[in-house]
Amino acid sequence: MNGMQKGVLSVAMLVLGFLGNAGCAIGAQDEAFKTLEPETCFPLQSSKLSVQLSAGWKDYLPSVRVCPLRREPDTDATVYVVSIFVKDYYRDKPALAPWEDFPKPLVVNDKGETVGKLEELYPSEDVGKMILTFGHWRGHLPGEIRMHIRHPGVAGDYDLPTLIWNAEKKRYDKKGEDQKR
Amino acid sequence: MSNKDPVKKLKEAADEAYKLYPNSCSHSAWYVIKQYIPDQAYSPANVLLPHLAHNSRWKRVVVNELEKYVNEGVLIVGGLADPKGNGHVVVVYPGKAKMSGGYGASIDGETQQARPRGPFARVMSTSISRNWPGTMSNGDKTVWDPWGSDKKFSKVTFYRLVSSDGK
Repeated sequence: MNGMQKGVLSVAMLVLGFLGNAGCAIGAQDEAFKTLEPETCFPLQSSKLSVQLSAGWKDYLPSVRVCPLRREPDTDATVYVVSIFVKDYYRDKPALAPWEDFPKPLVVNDKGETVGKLEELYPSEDVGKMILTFGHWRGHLPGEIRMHIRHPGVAGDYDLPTLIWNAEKKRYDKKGEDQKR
Repeated sequence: MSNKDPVKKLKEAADEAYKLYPNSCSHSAWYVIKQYIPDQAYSPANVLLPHLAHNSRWKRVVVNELEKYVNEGVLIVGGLADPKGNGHVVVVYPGKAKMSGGYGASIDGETQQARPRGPFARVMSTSISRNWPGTMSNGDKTVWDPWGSDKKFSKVTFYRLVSSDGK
């Protein structure tokens, strides 16, 4: 390889490297996962969001909170997690008040329509803590919602099935679920 | 111990195992099994559980039958294997079923209260882990408590030792 060939190759590698990084940078921005913080959730009863809830939610309405899944803190959310905050529910109840069969959290769109369900309560059941992250953005819509449960029991931490946005059906499916059908 | 009342024999074996092996679930379960099967070789939880599932001396028992069998003095061993970890194994302890939970624990500096989820059979459970109060039990907690999670407990399986007449 002569000097000129080496020079051309170096420039080509530089350009490819730049393109590679630029592509990676754009991808990383779309992939960027945010963690849902319980402090960003607000009471359903003071929310403008109109969510259709089944009768099973009736007794828990004062403890239901709406959690926006925002791409950036100053942007509007297109989907929300609606969940019973059990710590609020049990706040004024006896220490040995039994666990109840709480309705599972919903994922709703900005019209209040259900577009997905979580398998466990956010931010926690009586024991454990859910770390909910969301990313793989489609504009301002998270294409993926991941849930990790921190749990002190003998089996330790575990993951719940990831929810993936199904653009055709306009709802979240459990990862791999749509392929099975 | 062969002439002993079967419930008394089981309770004594579980009590001894709890004292001898407070840091190892598989050793404490092994100790109890050895009182019934003297040549039982030691095996960790992840090995013991598939052995119980595939050995004709052991039969699967559903959760709501545990109390009945254990109070007839039947040895019942249960647990959940974990391909990524050690798994956990327990011995069902004689006595009247009791409410699960009812104690607090700290996770990431936040105190949480394990709410009662209904009555379950009692358990003998030991572990090196002390992160979770439900882990350690000498009949004072239930079969639900070591796992402390409905999702995990739903995967726990129990096996009773079949008696010499095959029942």
